[in-house]
Amino acid sequence: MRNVTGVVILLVSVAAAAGFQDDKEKLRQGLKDTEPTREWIYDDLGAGFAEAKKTGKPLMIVFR
Amino acid sequence: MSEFVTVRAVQAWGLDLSLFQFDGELTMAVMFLNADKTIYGRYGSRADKKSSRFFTTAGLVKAMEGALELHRAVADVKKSLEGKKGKAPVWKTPEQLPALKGRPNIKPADGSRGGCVHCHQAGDGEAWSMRMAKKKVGDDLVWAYPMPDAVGLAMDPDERAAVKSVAAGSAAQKAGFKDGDRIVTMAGQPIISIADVQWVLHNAEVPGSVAVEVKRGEATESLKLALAGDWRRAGDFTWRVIVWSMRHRLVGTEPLSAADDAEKRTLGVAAADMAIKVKGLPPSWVKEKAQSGFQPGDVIVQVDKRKDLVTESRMLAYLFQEVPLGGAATFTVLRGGKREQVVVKMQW
Repeated sequence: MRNVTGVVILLVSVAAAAGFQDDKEKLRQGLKDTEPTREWIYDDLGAGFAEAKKTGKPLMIVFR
Repeated sequence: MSEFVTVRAVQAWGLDLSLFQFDGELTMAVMFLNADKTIYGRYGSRADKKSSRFFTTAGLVKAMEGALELHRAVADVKKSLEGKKGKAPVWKTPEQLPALKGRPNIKPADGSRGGCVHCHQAGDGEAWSMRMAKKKVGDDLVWAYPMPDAVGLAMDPDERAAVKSVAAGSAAQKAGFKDGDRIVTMAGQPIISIADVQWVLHNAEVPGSVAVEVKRGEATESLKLALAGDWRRAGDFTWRVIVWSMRHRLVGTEPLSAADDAEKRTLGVAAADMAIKVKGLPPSWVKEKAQSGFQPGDVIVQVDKRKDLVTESRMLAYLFQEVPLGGAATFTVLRGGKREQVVVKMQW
């Protein structure tokens, strides 16, 4: 019984994890964005400016 | 690309409009900045319904190279970049625009395509908000981000800001521009793209003149581009999203088109006068539309005392800028061989 319960809990957890999406991920999927070959900061200008400050690189912000 | 921090912004909720000023009606717009919010430049241009012809990989790469050059020399060029930041806006974020209040998508993005603030809503929202507040709506809000063609410059989309040709008799020709000139600075700002040229034109004082430096072969030439009062009005903004609401709310029609000279002769309209054809009326699901009484087939030959509004752009601009909210415009139309009048109240 414990094993079955454990399996159920595991399956539910996996399903929950697979189902859990933050708003950004939902937006990305809703827009059918494909994953680029390098990491783009997605819809977070604050994170972009922070990364630019940290790295000393300029920002290229694409509004689309 | 690896020399940049790349950010994709897909919605405009909370967008700081004092910093992020660009043509929001593009299918894609790019801004290059430093971490301290110094703006290096912009990329992305559109002249008409063919939205992609000014977007080229070559042009974007050249703009990126230009941004990197400015970044490497930022201590030396910082002062010259100050003009790349616009004037403080009346409303700081799109959601503060009165014209957008109550619209179902004006909220933080909810993950659906329709559930987010669109970039174009910042621009057309500002224009409608100014009208609603009965403030003057300047040409900069109606003929926004004019293409260099408006002053007679046809640009090469594969270069930063290279002149392909100069229109005869244009402001650019009078300033001394030549085919092949590469624009280096305008109004003291380093230019890395056609969008940067548009930025300077968009913000230019009128009447006035803009100082331009061009590279012509190995030489640098200094030019002065004089801008007369109505220089923007040579352009056509009817490809813009705002025009749908203008047509619906101010005229109560679908797209309008100007009769050509042969049609004008048949109609008995002078070649220099307006003849704007009503082709259709909005579908029933369009709620915000003037109950105007136009019929498909009507030809508008006068609005109030004006017969010179020869394009849809000019007519819509006249209504938007000069017939106030709460007022009315009287249209003279040709219908079935007769002249009739249609009075439209401005409810928006």
